[in-house]
Amino acid sequence: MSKVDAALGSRLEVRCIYASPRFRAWAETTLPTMEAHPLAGTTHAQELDTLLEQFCAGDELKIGPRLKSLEHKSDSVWELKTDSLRLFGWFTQRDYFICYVADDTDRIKQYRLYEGYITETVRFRDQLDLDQPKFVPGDDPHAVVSNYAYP
Amino acid sequence: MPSFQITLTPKDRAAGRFVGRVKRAFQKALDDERRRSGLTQSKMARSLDVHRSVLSREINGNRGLSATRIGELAWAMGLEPHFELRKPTVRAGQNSVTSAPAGTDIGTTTTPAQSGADVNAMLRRPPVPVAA
Repeated sequence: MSKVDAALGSRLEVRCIYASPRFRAWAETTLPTMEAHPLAGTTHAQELDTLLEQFCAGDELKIGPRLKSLEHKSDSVWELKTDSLRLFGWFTQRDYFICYVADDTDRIKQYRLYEGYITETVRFRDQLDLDQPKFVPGDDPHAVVSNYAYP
Repeated sequence: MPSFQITLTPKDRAAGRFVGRVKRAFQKALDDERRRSGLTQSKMARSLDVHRSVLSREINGNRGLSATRIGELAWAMGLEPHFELRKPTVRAGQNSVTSAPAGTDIGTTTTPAQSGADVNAMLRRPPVPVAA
């Protein structure tokens, strides 16, 4: 496991993200090669960097039916979202997120990868040697993050 | 525990984070105006003569925004953009000055993307004219 350095500069770190070897390898090898939509204003890497900054600096996270940047999927697996990317993982405690896997949103939808990624995340979590409790159970956003809002 | 960063040039990191702040400013402004005056994306789209899905991609998605478009979106919300360039400050002990652009005093500045995300200051209501 690795800790994600969100390059916050003068901003304080309020939340933390830890990366599985799979997520780190994807971020270091696949992410830089992903091509943005021709009309996009930013690359996938810039989108992820902005998400990491917002998350780790403790900026308000939107949860709910519209504009959500964090969503509970199932089995206490949560999804962090940008327009083009989806990150799957879980919270070991409030504001501590472990990211197992990430991928392009269109690719996930095209190949129907949601269930597979959630299942793989749970399997990795089960096999990981962590102190109990390994994760925050349930789908209550208040239990997993500070500073969130329902837009 | 080892750590790692997303690989980006300082220029791309600064630009990407600025775009993110602009988008969040529009999202917050739309939420505020929805509560205040009932403004919706559909109403905005009609006043801008575009399909609602285009507007949604501009505000919520990653579609690029020109300065002209930012002015148009703000107008459709009854707001005016506030644009300012300033030297960010660095806290004592900060060790990320290597990302400062060439020509700046790296002892006292950092990149704009590393300063606080003040999305509230980016869009504001225009002043109300005072009757003579």
